[in-house]
Amino acid sequence: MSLFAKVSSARVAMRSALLSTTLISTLRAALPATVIPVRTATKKAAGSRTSMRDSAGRRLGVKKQDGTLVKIGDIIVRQRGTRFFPGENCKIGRDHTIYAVEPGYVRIYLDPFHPKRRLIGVALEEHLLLPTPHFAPRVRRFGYAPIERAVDAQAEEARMLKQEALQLPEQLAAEAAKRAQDAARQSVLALQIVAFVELPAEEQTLAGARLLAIENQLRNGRAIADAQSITSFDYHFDIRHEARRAGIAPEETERLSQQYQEMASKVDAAVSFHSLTFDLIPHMSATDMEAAKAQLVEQLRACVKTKKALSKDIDAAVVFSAEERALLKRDYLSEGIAGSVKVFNKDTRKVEVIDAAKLGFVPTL
Amino acid sequence: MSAIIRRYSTVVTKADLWADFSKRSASLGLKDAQLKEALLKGVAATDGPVSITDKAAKMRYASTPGMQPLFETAHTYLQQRAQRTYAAIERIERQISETTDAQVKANLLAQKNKMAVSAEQHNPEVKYTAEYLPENLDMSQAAFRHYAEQKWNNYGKMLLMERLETMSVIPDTMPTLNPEVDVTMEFPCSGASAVVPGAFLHSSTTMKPPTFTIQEFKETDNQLYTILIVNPDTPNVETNGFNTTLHWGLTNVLVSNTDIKVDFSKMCDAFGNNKHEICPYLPPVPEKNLPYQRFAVWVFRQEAAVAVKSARLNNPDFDIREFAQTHGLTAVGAHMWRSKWDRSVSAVREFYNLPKGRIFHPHRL
Amino acid sequence: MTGVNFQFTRGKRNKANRTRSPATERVLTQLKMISQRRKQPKLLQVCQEDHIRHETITTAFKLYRQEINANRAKLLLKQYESIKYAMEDLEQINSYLFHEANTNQKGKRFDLEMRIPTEYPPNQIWLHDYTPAEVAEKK
Repeated sequence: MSLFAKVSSARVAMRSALLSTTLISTLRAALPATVIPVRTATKKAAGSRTSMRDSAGRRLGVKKQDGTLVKIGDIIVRQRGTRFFPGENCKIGRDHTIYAVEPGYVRIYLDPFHPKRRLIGVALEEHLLLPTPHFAPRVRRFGYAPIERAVDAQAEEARMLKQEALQLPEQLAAEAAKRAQDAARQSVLALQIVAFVELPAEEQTLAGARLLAIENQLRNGRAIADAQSITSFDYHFDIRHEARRAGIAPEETERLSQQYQEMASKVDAAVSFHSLTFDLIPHMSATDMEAAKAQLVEQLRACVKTKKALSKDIDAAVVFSAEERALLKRDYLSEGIAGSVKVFNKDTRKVEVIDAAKLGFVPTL
Repeated sequence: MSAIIRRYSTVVTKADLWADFSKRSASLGLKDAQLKEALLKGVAATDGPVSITDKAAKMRYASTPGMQPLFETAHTYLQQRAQRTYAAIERIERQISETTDAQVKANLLAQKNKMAVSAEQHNPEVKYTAEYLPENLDMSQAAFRHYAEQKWNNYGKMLLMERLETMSVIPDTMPTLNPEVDVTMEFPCSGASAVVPGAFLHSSTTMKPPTFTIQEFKETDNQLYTILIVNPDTPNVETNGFNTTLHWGLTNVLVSNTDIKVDFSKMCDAFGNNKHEICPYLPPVPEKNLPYQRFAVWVFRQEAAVAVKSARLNNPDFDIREFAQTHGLTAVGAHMWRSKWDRSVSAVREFYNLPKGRIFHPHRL
Repeated sequence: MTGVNFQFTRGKRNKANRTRSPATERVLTQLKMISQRRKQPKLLQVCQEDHIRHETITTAFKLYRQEINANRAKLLLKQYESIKYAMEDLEQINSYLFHEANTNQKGKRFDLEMRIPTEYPPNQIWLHDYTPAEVAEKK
């Protein structure tokens, strides 16, 4: 073999080697090494029953354009999801339909607090724009009409809901009972007041009424001075309005008011109420009250040493309020501990139930 | 624990600022000697806590052991801080007396008020009184006002704003409100207790004028207020809308930190004469089959005494915003209630000599 | 549940030390699982006086810590500002030195100046040929 042949054969070998490597690499790139596509026989197993079907259009969209006059219940927008939100005088339905709840003119606007939201509203007047300024009063439609025929109006006024009709007899009975109770108490007070202050016969009933009103205010937890001033005000207020109704001259009203004021000051100066039983007791001035309190406390201190039963004495001391009485009892009446006490015993490491009064038990830390 | 106590005990020295009432108000201390002892010296193992009244529970109670030395250290440390604060307050007071500039003076006063709070805020006696004896708070003291304000901020203020906004009293009457004072309202003549904002009240309850309390939380002296009750739901059949009616107006009402009551019965003499009423009280008289009416009570702070031209008030549609603006009033508090037609409305109308109420068709047109 | 023996048993419960019947045990377990105690932490029962005393102690400690922290913050601010002013002065006096002082030295993670100063610095700063005592003995 000549040198030339040697060289050429080497070239050919090189070229074929080159060719084969490029071919294989391109083939490898084109196909995955392991997958060899084979077409087999197929049979459609499941159908495209739903995917082939298409419903008719749902007729969505804006039904009333901006500025259109709408009635109550008119549908303004049909939509999927909230492309539009309900604004003033509009509501949104179950399927996001926006409809008018007031008659007026449709307005489409942006929500000032959520600038990406488009709102649909109804302006009550043609010249009004939406949204209504944030701090401006709302524009509202009244929408009710009075019943013109007197007979119908009367019938409508008398109409009751079933619940009200059922409760009425009970309510009337309770009111009547309260009135009877008040009247009885008032007459008792009117009789009792005579023992404290001299009053003309015609003023006794009035004084009784005043005392009853004061007692009711006290039972509601008001202070005596407030109760007295409220009761007076109530009376003056009542007769002023009564006079206006009946056309009585103001001079006459003034005379009655004056008379009442005199009676009230006389009664207030004479009597007060017991803070527990609400019985009438002689009135005491503030200084007298303080003196009496101090004296009673002194007596209590003296009695504590002799261990006299004082509980009832404190209850009977009318000068003290309920809170003051409770404090006095705490300070001066140390009764034995009542009942059983659960205590952890450190030694036995058990919770023991002890009759505290019997043992005179004092727990320690 | 003992190491901690030793460490801090070296830091502090003895001080008894909070036991000295020669310069401080006596209301900053606890009146009950036993309670004071228990609070400052620790709950005695033999007696049990004073705050627990049940005897068995008292004896069963075991206080945390080893609290006393820690408490004493803390108490002394806090007192030392308070002493420094009081020294700073004295310096500010000197500055106040020296300056003539009103603005500087106001700033200094605000600063002083803040310091007066911090000087007493952590006093255990003050804290106990504020937390557990809220009816005894002396509102002339900055620390008590601070605690009362905190309590109001956490409940009353939020409740009021919620009611005003959800029931659209804001912005149907006034544009908005930044509440600064705690307003409470009750109708004493009907024996009713404090009204929760937004409650439905029976027409017999609201027959006679209410009383208010106006609690300021900043230091005030001789501050004048205007109180207006307006109803933005008066029907106007002609315009098919609503009018705002002024139901009651009081001006130049004097309230201070300690005297917070606005009691109309004490403003009037026996003949109903007073110089505060700008229009006589008109009770709620709703008509049948209409939705509920809102009655908004607005409390305004006045800069000076105002004279109201009553002619303006006869307008069927009362403009509360314009009224506030022309008289230089700032809204600082509010309250509200709701009324609906009931069987007592006719009696109320008769009492006030008002025309018979209309009856409306039950359904809205 | 009356008549059930609630005697305490030390250690794990088993048949040997059983005091209750398995049926009772089962009922008890079920009751325990639904008891309110499991659902909420036990409320601390502290009387009003002790509550305020406790609050006083915690408040005082909080304020004490606040005071310390505020003082520290004040000191740090003062130090920072004095460094800042010194650097401003340096910048005006000699910009080269200012630049040198402020260049970021890469790889230097701990400044020698940040060593906590001690009252008695050692004469020999670092023992380069340190060997533990035990190893030395073995040698």
